[in-house]
Amino acid sequence: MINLSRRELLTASAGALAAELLYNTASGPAQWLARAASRAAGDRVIVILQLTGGNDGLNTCIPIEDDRYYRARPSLAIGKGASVKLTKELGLHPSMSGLRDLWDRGEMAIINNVGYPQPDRSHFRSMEIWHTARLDDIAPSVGWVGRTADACAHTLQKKEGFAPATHVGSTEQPLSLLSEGVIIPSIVDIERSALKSIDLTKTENLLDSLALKKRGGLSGWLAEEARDAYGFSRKLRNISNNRKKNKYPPSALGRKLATVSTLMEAGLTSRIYHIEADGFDTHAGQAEAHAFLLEEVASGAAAFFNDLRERGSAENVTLMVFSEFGRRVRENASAGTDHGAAGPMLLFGGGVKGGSHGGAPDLENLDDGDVTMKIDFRSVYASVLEHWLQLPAKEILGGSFETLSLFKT
Amino acid sequence: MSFDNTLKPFVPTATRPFDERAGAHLLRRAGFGGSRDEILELIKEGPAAAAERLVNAPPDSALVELDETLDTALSGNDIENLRAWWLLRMVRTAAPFREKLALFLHGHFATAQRKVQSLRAMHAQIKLFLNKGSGSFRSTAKDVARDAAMLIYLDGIKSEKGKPNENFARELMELFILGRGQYSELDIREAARAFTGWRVDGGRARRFTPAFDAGVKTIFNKTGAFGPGEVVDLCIEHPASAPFLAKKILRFFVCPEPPEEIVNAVARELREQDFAIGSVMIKIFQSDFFYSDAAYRVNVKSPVEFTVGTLRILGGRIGGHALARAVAEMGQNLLDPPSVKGWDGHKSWIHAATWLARVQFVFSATQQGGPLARDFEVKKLFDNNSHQDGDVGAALSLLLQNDAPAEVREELLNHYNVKKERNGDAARRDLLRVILTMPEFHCA
Amino acid sequence: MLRIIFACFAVSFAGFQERAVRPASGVSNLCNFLPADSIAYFEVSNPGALLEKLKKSAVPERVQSLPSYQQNIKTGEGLRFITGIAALRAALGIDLEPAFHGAFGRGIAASITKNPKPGPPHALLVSRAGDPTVLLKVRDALAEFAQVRSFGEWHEGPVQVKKKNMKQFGDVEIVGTGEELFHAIAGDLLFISNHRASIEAALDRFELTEAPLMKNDKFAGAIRSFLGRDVIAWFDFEQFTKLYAPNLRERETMDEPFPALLVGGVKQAFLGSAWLAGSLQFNGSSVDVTLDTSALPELSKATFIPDIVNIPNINVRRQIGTFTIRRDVNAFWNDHEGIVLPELDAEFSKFNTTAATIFGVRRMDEDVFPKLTPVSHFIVARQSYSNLPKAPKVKIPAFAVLLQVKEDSKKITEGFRRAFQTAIALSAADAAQKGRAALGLTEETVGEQKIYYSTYPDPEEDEEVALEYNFSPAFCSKGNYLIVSSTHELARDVILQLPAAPRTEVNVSEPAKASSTLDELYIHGPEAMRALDENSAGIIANAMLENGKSKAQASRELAGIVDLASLVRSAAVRSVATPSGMQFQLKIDLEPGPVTPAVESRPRK
Repeated sequence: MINLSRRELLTASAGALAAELLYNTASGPAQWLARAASRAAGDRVIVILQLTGGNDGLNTCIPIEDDRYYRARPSLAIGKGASVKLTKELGLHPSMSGLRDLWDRGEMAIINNVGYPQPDRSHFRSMEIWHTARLDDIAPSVGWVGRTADACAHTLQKKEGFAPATHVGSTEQPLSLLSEGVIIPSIVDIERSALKSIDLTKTENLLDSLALKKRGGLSGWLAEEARDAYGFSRKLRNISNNRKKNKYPPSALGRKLATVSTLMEAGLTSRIYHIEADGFDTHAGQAEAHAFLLEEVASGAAAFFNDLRERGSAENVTLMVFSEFGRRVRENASAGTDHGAAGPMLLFGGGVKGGSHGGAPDLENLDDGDVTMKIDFRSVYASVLEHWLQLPAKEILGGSFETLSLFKT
Repeated sequence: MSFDNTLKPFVPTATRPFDERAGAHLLRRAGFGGSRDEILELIKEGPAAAAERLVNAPPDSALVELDETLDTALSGNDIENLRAWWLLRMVRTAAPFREKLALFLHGHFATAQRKVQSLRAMHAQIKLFLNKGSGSFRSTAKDVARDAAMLIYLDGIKSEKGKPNENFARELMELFILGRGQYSELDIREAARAFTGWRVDGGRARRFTPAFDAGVKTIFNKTGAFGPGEVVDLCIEHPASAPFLAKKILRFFVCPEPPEEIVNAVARELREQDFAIGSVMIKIFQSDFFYSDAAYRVNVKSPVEFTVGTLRILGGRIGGHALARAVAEMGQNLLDPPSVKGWDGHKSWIHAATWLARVQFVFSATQQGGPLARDFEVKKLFDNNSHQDGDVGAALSLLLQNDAPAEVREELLNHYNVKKERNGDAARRDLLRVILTMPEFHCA
Repeated sequence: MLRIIFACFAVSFAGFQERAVRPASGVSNLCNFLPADSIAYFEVSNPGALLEKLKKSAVPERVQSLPSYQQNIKTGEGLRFITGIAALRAALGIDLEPAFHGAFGRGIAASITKNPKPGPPHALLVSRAGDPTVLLKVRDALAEFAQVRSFGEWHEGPVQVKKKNMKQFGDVEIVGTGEELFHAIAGDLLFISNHRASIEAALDRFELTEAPLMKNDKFAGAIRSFLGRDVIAWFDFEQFTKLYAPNLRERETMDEPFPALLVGGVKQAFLGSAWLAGSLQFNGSSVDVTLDTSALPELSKATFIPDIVNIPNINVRRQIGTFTIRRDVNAFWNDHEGIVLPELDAEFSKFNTTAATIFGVRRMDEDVFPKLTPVSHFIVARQSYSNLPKAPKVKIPAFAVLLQVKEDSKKITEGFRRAFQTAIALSAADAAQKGRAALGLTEETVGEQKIYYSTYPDPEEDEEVALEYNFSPAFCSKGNYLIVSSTHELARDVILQLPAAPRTEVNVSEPAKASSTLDELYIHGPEAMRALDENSAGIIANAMLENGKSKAQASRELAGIVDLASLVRSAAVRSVATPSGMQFQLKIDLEPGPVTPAVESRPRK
């Protein structure tokens, strides 16, 4: 592997990255050129949903024809007929029936057996690996989303005033969002960003009008940023006032997805949104808890894409779902499952090449009782970066990873 | 050559007087800005004495009560208390340079509670910056090398003879003293050996001799059985150290892109004063360049500068926790910098979301009975600043030393001084809000 | 704030003469003037008599003898307040007490209705004067003198009663003082509102013979039994939820979905009630508050168990309070979907998972809860820290849960012990991973019982004793009793007081009796005060850091609170199931003197 200093590529000037792009353009296939020319690429968005705690992949995307699955999970296995059958060999957990529509439209991709070499069963360490996209033990100071945001800021004509990535959640951000240059804001509360809790009636017009006055230098630049921000806030207020209630399920996840959608609609030009859902560490009594959690994911994703479709932007948004590890194949004595290794990743969206990638979970070749990694998670990251966001994956991930054909164009 | 003149002292003239604008500029950079009385006092002293007094100000004894309070709060595990303590110090202190320099050093030797997970250790590090920051940078760097929070943050506690962890050695060279490209990977590996052999117990660092690699190391082509202090000395003596540090200081305190000759002049000053930060800062704050247009309102205020500066002017009873949260919302989660590189500062502070957070802050701070500046007296702010342009004139002079475009001033006059009579509190609060959210107020 | 409370005592009682109480006028009838769609209602039907009762009690004297009383009224705000009142007295030309009786003495009532536009809800206050001429005098003096507060701003100087703000309404004048404050005087009645039309409507009701609010069945039914008590209040929970729950939902954030959960949760989990009606009665040496709710939802009935009490009288050293719950945990657990909002469902199942992990069982609701009797008893006590070289700076009281296992399920005791040890081991593993001090398990034998407990390694002599040293989790059992405690000390104290072979006669199938006591909370005043006092440094530090108070200010306030709390001998809250709904009873005992044992309930069979 190329051993780049971890800041080398990040502090690389815009010029160096432009050169890289130029290189790709000059030598790359015509297809790449076409894509690079497409204006739409700059509008593409990825929403990353992290399932914290280690989602049980085998009960999410079920190998319905594999007897080993039923033998390993006498009490937890989802009955053959009960699952939502997707392909000959693959079914979804019954509480995810809300995803049927997305699957049928070809807007849902399942990538099975995703992980990394020498799996670590510690939540902390495994999450660190997924967040930094690095396996070495260097004290992490940047995450892969942070690096992507930095790259966006360098390579793309960033609309002034908007961060390339946004965290929807608390001000304590996950490691993956640590960046070198750009500040990634946390939208804790959309009402605050919409300035709804303060009375602007007396001053709003004045603020706007003052920001429009001619200025030079730094205050001129700040005035432009301020105007953008006021415009954004006003849009946000209008949208959140006019939004139909009950479009999203009342779960915490539903609210976060609704927030992401509102932010997009208001014109926040972030290309990456990061959200988290907790509670997937199902060591005992898993059946009921896991069903709840998956239902939240499924109903949230379905509502999100229904909403986007109504607004005509389902083609520009991809939702990517990951967890720090899957769980062991064999259930434990408490009707739960313990920390495992590889698991499935899910992708949703109009641009996604729907279907099952990499087949069903492989229960033949287990590694110490765990699903073995067949696809490196960094390959999925690389595909998202190269094919979807059209950013230089090698630079961002600090190494070359085979890309997969996960997107339509 | 003009080199000798680049840090020449500022001599006020009729066209470039040491007036309220200049005094406020000094107070913003050496501190967090402040009341009109504070500015007038500086003007009376003149640029040379003012800079000296600000930098050499003894610790404010009125803060002892707050420090004692914190000691009790450190027994708990609420990081907000530590943030509140520091922010309250900044708002209240009579010696603001001490806090400002500590803020610089906190960003320079960036260490995050997120990983350290010890209030006592984080507190000890900030105290180190507060108490010793203006002394020799050489000894500060040595103290940092054995600081408990830093040992945890950059894995010094995992670093043992035979298996040295390179994190601290790398950052020491790359980010703390030299900058990239001034050292080899071999230098880092060898230096890392010298920083082995530390443990942290109960938030305090302790030497653990059996894990210390006492062997001979070769760093920058010099060979010896170096210990941690000697490695810091080697770095400081490296020719790249002074320009690197000079540039960082100038970017934080003076302007985002300091001209090369100024960087070199400050670097030479650092060498001559053997890295005595206080003395060098006095030279900078007394310099002609510092008072030139190239340094005037050219930095974006950091969230801490902006909020603390605002509250120092408004007064009132400060809600420390609310202040800490507000600052975090603007992108500066104090004691939790995003990475070991600290905050990038300047324009990177401003996005739609962070600007709106600034607006939110202004509205909460000026709100009647609000959580940030409870009981601040609107009337007092205006009574002490009577002005021919009424409230608008008084407020623009108080908050901006009249650095507002003419059109802005005019519109404000049309809006608030229609009847040329004194406004009620409500209108005055509105006026304060409007000015505090004006771009000019966010330029340091 | 405290200074103002103390100052009130100073001006209300210091120079006052004993005076004859006007005969109580019975029901004030003031509710007749309030709108039928009120959401909240408040009434003091005889303020004059209440004031007299308070004066005659020992309370004023006890307040005035508090050390912080003198301290507070002689400084800053308190003094200013007193001078202000004296000036008001001068402006009135009569003493405050006759002024109060004259102006408001025969009843005060207020209600809140929804504001159809955005903005604060409409409030309307009606009071009946003892002497209409005094009322006019008081109004004029207030207008002249006081800084009348309207919404948002203080009006400086005398309030201008501007001509353009006046509106003739019949022969009554509605006066606007400030932007959003209106009042009118009609005969012996004073109306105050933030909404002009509310006063107009109230004046209209003058002509009516029947009271609109009494026609509101929810109100009339709820309030009837409380008429004649000192203070009455009523709250239309159903209306409130309907009107304001959507707003609350909007205000919630992703990380803090609490406003809506709170309303929904309180409503569904505890009350399921259309309204709340409350009354307060002051009896000289105690305050009794009763809160009635309407009928219980079907579901809650299932979770209530009959009036079986079999809780030993535990009164350990330094005991601050006890909390007893007589409910079937398992029924509650199984029915939680109907009780809590959907958002919490997931939390329940997450908790189920975690708990089951620790217990090493498949499901809590199958394997654990059904084996417990429906009585849980919590004990909270201060700690002695006798096992440590010195006490930690932050002192967290010890707490213990006392559970009873059903006669036929003794095996579960063993399960609890294992769960306890697993939980300690897990926490130790976590602490070790993070490089922190880890709990170690040990045990001791007290009498015939083993106490399993865990401790942190002894703190270094020169080191500060950390927060964690407040905990030395312990588990023990005796007969059918299980004790889980946050400290070894409390576990030992409790087990020594437990009877050797407790009876457990539980018959869950027996229907709930009328007026069964369900939950009881008992707080021992002096110990609670000591718990507050021994943490004063931390509380003061918090006030200084969080709210920017000075040390003197924060200390004075805390001393005042501790002083005031010292007037309370005990406080007890009970929830009682009556045939018509749940009733909550709060009794605050203000009697000075020794304290009765902390636990009042004893076996009744």
